[in-house]
Amino acid sequence: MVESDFGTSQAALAAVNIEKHFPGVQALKGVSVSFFAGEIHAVCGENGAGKSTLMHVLSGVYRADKGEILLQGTPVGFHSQREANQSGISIVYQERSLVPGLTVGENIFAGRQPVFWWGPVNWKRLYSIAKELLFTLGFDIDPRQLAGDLSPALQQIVEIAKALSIKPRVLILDEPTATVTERETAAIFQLLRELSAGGMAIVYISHRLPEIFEIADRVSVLKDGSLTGTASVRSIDEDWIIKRMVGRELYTGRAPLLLASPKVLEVSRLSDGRKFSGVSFFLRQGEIVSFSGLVGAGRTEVFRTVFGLEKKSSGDVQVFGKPAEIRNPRDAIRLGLGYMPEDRKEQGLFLEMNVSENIVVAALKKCQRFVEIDNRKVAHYSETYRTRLKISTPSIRQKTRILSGGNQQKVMLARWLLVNPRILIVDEPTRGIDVGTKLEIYEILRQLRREGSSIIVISSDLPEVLSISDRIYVMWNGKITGEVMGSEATEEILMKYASGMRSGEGKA
Amino acid sequence: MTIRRLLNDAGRQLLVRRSLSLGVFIAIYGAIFSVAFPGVFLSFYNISSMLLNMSSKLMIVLGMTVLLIGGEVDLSVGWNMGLCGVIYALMMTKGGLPLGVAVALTVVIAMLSGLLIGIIVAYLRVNSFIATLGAGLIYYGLEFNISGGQSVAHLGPNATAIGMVKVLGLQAPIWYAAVLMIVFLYLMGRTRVFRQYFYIGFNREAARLSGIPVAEMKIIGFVISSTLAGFAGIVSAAEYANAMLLVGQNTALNSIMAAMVGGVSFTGGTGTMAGAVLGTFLIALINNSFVIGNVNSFLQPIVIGLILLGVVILDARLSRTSIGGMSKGESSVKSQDLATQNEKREGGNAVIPTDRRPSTK
Repeated sequence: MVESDFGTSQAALAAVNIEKHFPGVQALKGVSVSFFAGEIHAVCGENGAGKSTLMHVLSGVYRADKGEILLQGTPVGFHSQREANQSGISIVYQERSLVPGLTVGENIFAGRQPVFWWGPVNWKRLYSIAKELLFTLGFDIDPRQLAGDLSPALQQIVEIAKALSIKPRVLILDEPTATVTERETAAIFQLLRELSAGGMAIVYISHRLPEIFEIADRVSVLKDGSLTGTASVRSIDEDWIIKRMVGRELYTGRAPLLLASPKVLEVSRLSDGRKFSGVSFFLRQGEIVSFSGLVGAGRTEVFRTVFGLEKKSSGDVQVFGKPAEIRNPRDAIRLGLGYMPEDRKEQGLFLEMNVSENIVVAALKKCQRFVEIDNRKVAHYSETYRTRLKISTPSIRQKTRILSGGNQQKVMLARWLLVNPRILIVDEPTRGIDVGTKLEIYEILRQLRREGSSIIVISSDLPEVLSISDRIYVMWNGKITGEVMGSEATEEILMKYASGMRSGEGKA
Repeated sequence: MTIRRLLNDAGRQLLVRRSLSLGVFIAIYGAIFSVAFPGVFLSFYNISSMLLNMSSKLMIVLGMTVLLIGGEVDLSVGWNMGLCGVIYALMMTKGGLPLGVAVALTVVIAMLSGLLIGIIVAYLRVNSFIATLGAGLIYYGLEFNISGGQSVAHLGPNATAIGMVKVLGLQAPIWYAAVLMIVFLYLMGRTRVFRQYFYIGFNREAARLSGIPVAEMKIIGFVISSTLAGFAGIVSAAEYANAMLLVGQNTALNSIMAAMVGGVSFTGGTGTMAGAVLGTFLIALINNSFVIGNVNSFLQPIVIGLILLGVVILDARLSRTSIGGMSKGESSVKSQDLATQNEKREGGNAVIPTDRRPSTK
C-alpha cells in the first residue's frame, strides 16, 4: 500500500538522510525523500514537523548538517538560494515577497531586468515578456499594474510567475492557496497540472487535506523531523495522513444551542460608507458566531469598524445592552472586546520582541506594580499561558519571529486570553496553520465559550465554519446575505449566500 | 563551569548587550588615556569640564531616544535649543523678568511647540522627519528675527546663575543632566507607560490594536523632546552668559548619532536609554581625549564617523540573533547560546534577507 522510495538516481531532486540541527531542536532527523519529474508531490505535517526546514535545505537557504541533496542523481551543495535557482530549483514562499509599490513586471524580474547593452532597463521588453509569461499561465494581468493593487490571489499568481520566470525543473510551493478563493484555487491547480505534465517536478506543501487529494500524485508526511510515510494518494485516505501527522483522529463537535442567552453585542444598520452598508447582526452570550464569505466581502472591515479601528458613517453598536461609542481600540477593550487580526505579522505580532512581551502587551496594566512593570508578573503570566496553550518555544524570552506560524497564532490568542475579553473577535484564526494546531485553537475557543465568553469567528474556511459555529452569517459584497443555524448549514447553502446567488437580508 | 566557558559567556554577553560592551570600551579607553596622560586625564578639572560639555547634549539625547525608540525623530531640537536660549536671554535682559518667570515661560513655550509638532505628526499623520525639519526651519527663522541676527550677550549674574552655580564643585548643568538622566533611565527602563514606546516602535499597528494609545504617546514624546531641548537652551545660554544663535547647529544629528552608537535603531523599538547615555558619554570621552592628546582636531570627526559605521554594521549582524527584549540582561543563557550559534551558522552561509528568515521548524 505504501510505496517504498524509488531509486534516488532517477529523481529530479532527492534528499538523502538529511539531518539539520538547530540549538535545542533536531529539526530534521535523517529525512529521505525523492521528487520526480512530472509528479506533484505534496509534503504535509504539523507546525514544527520540519516542512519548512526541509524546503529551505532543498532550496539552498540552509545547509544540511548531514546527508546529501541529489539533483538528477548528482550531489549538490548550494550556498545560497541564487545558486539553487541557477540549478533549476525555484521556490514560492507562503509569505508574500512582492514589493507592492513596484509593477507586476518589475516584481517578476526583480534583479534580472532585461537591459540595453549600454545600461538602462529595457522596459518595453520587460513588460512584453512579463505579459507573455502571465498569458502562457492563463492570466490576463497587466504587467504595468502595481503589484499592491492586485487581489491576494492574483498576487499569488504573480509570485508563481516570478518563480517560473527562471524556467525551473523543480518548483517548490509553500501553501500557495492560503489566501486564495476557491475559483482561483482551481485556476492555480490547472496551471500546476499543466506544468507537471510538461515534466516539471512540483513540491507542494500544504495543510489542506482535500487539496492534497485533488492535486497531488504522491504525498509525504513529516512528524517531529522524521518522515512518517510516503504514499500514492490513490491508495490512501485523509485518516491515513492525519494519523501520521498528529497520531489522532479529527474531531468536530458542536455545543447545544443557547437561544435564551442575553445579547452581548448588537449591531444595527452599520455602514462605513465604502466597503459595507446596512450590516445588522447580534451575538448572544456563550455563542460562537461565524462570519463566512469570500475574501473581500467586507467582513474584516465590519469588525475593524466595530473595534474602533475605522470610522463608521452610520449605524449603532450596543454592547451588553448599552449603546456604545467606540472611537478607538482602547474604548473597545475597555468595553470588554478583543480583536485578533487576520494578518498576524503585520498587525498582530511584535516579531522582534520576545514571546512574553507579545503575550502581555494588551494587559500591561495587569503586570504593573505602582508605575513599574513587574517582570515577575510578566514571566508568571507568560509561563502560565505558554503552558496552557502549549506554545512550543525554547523560552518565553525567544524572539517571536522564529516561532512557527501556529505557535505565533497561539501567542496572539494568549495575549487576548490574558485580557479575558467577554467578546472575542478572531479574524481567520487558523489561516496557514496545520491541522493539529487548528484543533487546539478550536478547543481553546470552545473552552472560552464554556467559561462564558462570546466569540465571533471570521473565516473563509468552510469546513472550519461548519464545525465550530453555533450560528453563521454570510456576507457578500458588503452586505449580510444570509443567516444560518450551525446545525442546518451546509457548504452548498453557505456558498450560495457567499456568491450572492441567494439574497434576502437575514432575520437579524 | 570552566574558566574557558566563563570567558566564552562573557564574550557573548559583550556582543549581545550593548550597554555592557560600551561600558567596557569606555573603561578601557579611559584607562589607556589615564596612563598615557597621567595626572591630566583623570584630574578633577578635566573630568568636570568634560561632564559640563556633554550635559546639554545629554539632555537632548534623552528626549531624542524616547522618540527614536517610539519610531519617530525630532530634527528640530538644535534650533529649538537656540530659539529658547534667545527667548530666555531676551526676557532676562530686555524684558527684565524675574528668573523663575523667564525660565517657566520659556519652558512652557518649548512644551507648546512640542505639543504642536506632536499633533501634526500623530493626528495629521505627517512624517516626523519632515514635520520636524520644517519646524526646525521655523525656529531658526524666529530665532534670527527676534534676536535681530545677533547673539544676546551680557546676561547678568542673575540670569547666568542657573548655569554657573556650583554644587559639590560641579557646575549646575551637570546636576540637571544627571537628575534628568536618572529620571529617564527609570522611566524607559521600568515604567509601564514609557515601555509602550518599545511596542509602538516595533509595530505601530499591532500596538494600536492592543489598546496602546499610540497617538497620545507620540505627542508626549515630542513634548518631552522639545521641553528638554528648550531647557538645554536656557542652561547653555546661562552657562556662557550669552545666547549664541548657532549653538544648536549640529545638535540634532549629533544626538541621533550618540543614541545610535548606543544601540538605538533608527527604525524604532530597538535600543535602550542606558545605551544611548553611554553612547553620549563615549563620544564626549573621545572628544576630550583628542583635546588632551592635542591631536589634529580634524581627525576627530573621522574617528567618530568610523565608530558609528562600525556600530551600525555590528548591529546589522546582531539583529539576526534570536533573543528579543527591550530590557537589559534578562535573557537566559540558553537563548544567548542560540543567538551566538545562529550567528555562527550564518557566518559561514549566505546572508538571508530578514523577511525571509525561516523559523526553526
